[in-house]
Amino acid sequence: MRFIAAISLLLATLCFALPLKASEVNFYAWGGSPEVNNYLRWAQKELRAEGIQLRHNKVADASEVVKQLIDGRSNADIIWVNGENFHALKKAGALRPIADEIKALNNISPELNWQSDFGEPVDGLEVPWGVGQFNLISRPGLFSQKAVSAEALLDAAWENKGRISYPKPPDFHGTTFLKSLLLSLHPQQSEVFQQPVKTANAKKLTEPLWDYLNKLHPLLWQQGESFPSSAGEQISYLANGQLLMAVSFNPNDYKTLVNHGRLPAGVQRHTLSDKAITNNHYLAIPVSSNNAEAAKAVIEFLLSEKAQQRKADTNRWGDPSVLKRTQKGDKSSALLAPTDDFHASWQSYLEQEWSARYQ
Amino acid sequence: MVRTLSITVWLLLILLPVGSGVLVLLLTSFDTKAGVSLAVFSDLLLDYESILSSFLLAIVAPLVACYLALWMAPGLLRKPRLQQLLSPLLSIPHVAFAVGFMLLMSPSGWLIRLVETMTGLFPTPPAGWPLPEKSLVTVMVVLIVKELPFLLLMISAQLKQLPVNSWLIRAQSYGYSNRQAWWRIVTPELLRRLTLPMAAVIIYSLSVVDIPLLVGNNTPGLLAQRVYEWTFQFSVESQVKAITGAWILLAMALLLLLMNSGHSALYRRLALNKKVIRPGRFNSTRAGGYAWLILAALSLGVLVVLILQSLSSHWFYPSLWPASLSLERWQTESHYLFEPATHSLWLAILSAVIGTVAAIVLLQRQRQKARQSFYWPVLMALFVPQVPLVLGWQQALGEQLTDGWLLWWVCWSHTVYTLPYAYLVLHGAYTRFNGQWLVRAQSLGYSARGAWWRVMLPMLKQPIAVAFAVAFSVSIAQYLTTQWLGQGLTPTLTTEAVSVASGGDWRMGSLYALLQTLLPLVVFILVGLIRTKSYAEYS
Repeated sequence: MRFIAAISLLLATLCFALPLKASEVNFYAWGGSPEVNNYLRWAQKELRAEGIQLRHNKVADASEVVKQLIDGRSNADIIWVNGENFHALKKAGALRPIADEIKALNNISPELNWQSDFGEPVDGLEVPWGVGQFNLISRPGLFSQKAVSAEALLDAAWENKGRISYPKPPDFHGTTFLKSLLLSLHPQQSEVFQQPVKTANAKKLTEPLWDYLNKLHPLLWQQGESFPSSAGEQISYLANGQLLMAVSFNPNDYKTLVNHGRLPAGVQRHTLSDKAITNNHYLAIPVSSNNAEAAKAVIEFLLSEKAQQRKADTNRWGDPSVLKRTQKGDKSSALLAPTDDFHASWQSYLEQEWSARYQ
Repeated sequence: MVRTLSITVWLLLILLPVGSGVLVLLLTSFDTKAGVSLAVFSDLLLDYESILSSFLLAIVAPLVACYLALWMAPGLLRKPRLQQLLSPLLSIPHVAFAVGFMLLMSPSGWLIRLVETMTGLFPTPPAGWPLPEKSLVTVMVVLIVKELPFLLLMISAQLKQLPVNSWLIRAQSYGYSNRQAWWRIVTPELLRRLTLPMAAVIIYSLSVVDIPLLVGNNTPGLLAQRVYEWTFQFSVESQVKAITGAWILLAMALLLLLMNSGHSALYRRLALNKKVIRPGRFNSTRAGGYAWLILAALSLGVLVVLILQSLSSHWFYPSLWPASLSLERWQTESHYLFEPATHSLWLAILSAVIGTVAAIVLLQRQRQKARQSFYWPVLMALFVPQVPLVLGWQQALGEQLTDGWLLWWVCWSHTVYTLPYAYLVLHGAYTRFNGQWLVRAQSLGYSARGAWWRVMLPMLKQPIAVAFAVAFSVSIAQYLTTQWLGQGLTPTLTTEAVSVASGGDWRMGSLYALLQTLLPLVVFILVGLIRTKSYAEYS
């Protein structure tokens, strides 16, 4: 009897202990970076002053919430997406057109090519939050040039057998690694990759890439029989000395990760090919959101000068601002020489061909 | 009353959840666009490497763990306190254990750093180390070490139910050595009682995703890992592969379980037909003692390395210690821990209590019907793939998930998983409970119900407590159910830990992993403190 009484008491306290607020804005965002999490905690505090309860629903992979929005249910009010996840949501008609209603878009840098996301037209369904530029981070002495060509990479792999690798496609870092190699192998023809795969002669264009990888893979970490599962994992291997390079989509990571003790001091940043494949990461509001007005207010805040400046601080997250540059004393550092991402259809083409050959 | 209760359990915790999940699985399978396709099916079969590796892993890891456990178990007879050594290893989440283990044993791990510091042999992490960062062998070793404590715990719970010492003494009077008696007389009975725990270990080895993602080879990976990856890619081809692969996994699970059910009979035949040989020079008892020592050192090492990581500012190869230690990370996070920690605790307590009680109800009903075999459907939830299962619940529950009942549904979803574990931990002890005790109690004037409360329940205190502890840790480890049914509104230590881990920053990851370890650790230690007289010795 005493046992039953104790249980009922537990149940009763539980009912009172857990009030769940409905007026919150549920922001689904990847929770894998302590710096991003801390940044959102700050945003939470700032927004509370405006009367908005922001809740960061941390996920291990944005595709979890995408899966729910497409096949299940979700209470997401804002999601942090780009690339394939955006593509899937757009196809499913799961996103609200919001671009016309976000005033902060007037301040977006005109140089930012945000209207296409991994080659897919945005159509106002998402707004840019930050900039991604594909770059290599290496231990000093591995590469002598700022821009690493495919050939230079192969030479480095010869000299450092088993110390170089890249995230396994279809991880988008891995796929972008392949795209950068293609750019380096076809220096004169970068426009052709803006076309859909079908209209380009993909087989002929990619042949040099597969030949190249056939030479590269035996020289890689674990003889190319295993690859890091993600860019984050590769950063850890770089920190532990198993690997001499890692990849990143944040052009400031070579500074921020050192500042946060994740990488040893002295690591260097390079582009693979002459230019960095550049794209953006975005915020979107699902059609199913019950709290779209407050969600828009959150997005306005996240695109404000104050929020973007703080985001760009390399002692914090270090993600470049998407706004026009206002003053000279800007904390954000210069971006790398950009080049546009491939047409979206290349993504799955490269992933499939890679899988068919190497796994 | 038992009958009504058992029907309720069947409906609420087995038929409803598994039924709705299977329904969704079937509906998706026969979808004309993205359903199961024969062409893909044969493609997957032809590309047999994943299937073969998965099969190998699901056979070798549980078997090695099982026989290692049986070999080490006599230590538990001599020193029952050894069980406490298992608590930390049982409580550490699988992925955190894998990370800690690799921080000790990988080519850039602590062991190599120690060698480097002393000899200067490895200025960079060596290639060709037998435990590479990613390989099938690495996954196997991690799974074996992690499954070993669970099986030892199961054996320990059974040993308290069996008159092992009197068996051993009688065997010695027939001229058997202690070791021979152990393998020929005690082991066959133990194996019979371990059938269900082994089933759980096998299903786990077949379906585990997070560990192979971290330390498994990935060209190609294990089948479960690939199915999981396909599930979260949104092209039609990937969806077809995901659903087809799920069915292949299900078929493999059934086949493996069939093999498992023949295991103890096969052992009995082999063991009893083998000639008695004189024991050689190899001192097996002492070696078993060393094995316990290694296990203890390993669990201590993993805990220490996780603690150091969580305190370190930075820690690169080949430093033996972090550059500096600070509590800053713990201090910052402490402001945000209250909500996830409370959710974890409540969900675990409630779902473990309900799961254990439900398991007792089912087992009591079985005793009444005099059925010793076990109900397969109880374990169904463990081998139906989780993604379609939880999506099915979301669709079935619909609007229910938006109002204040959210937390209860999350608790319910945890119970769907705590029940099968509680059931399989308890099954052996409960169904093989000697009915003579109840008869004697009733002849002394107790009612049937009184005999159950006053005699059977106290005698089964130990296995019930173990069942509760295992159920508790199962609830603590739930990720997808919490995340999806809870709609992000019921964050737990585990949802925090898993999302932080996805970035690969193991300093923060270790902090959350340790917090995840703490609650089950307390429960396991408390369970280990329960002193029961081994009633079985008197029968």
